[in-house]
Amino acid sequence: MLIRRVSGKSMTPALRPGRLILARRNIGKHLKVGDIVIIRHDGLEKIKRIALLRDDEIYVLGDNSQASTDSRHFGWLPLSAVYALVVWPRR
Amino acid sequence: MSLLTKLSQRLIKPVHAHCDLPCGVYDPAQARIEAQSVLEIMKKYPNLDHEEDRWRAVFIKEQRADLVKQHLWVLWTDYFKPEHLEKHPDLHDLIWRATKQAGTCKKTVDAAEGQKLLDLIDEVAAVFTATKQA
Repeated sequence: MLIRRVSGKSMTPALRPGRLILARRNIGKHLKVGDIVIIRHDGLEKIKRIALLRDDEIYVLGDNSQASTDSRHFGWLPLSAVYALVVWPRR
Repeated sequence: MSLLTKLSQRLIKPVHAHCDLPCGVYDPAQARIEAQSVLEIMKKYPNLDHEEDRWRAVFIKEQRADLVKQHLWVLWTDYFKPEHLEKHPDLHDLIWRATKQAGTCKKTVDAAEGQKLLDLIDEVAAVFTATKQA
């Protein structure tokens, strides 16, 4: 289990800047659309929500689309980019 | 800031929910280029023979004057910070006068008004340059 602090506004209002979250490293094969995940991208851990899923790729978006850099900019990501699944808060 | 918040900032790694934007690129040159268009259209206007050309000139002039406002507002609301205002206490008034002047330029084809707009943008640019050197 990981504990992380949200930095930035791209996941508001669900996750406001500064709030703490819990995430599980052992993701299994249970990712689904709507899950919030920590991805490793460009050398950073980023937090986004899964918008689309296909065989071995995900498309992630920030909830606050006006203030988010996400798959609209960097495209689909391999499943291996998912570092952890956020388990708290649940949504 | 609460002790808990401070501790969490020290100890707990961040996850980034960032936007790469705003890009942080600001330049009063954008406003100036549009204002130059406004002025040049005003100068050409009296020499346009066809009514259609005059209509078009007025239409484009109004668009450009609106862009001047837009670019100045972006500088005002996104670039300038409270510390800039401390050093340049007339900044709010200056932006107000410059955007007002852009409005005036929509209503007239008097090139003198276009020149006033350029001069005001140059004043904004001078403040901008000063903040960059600070």
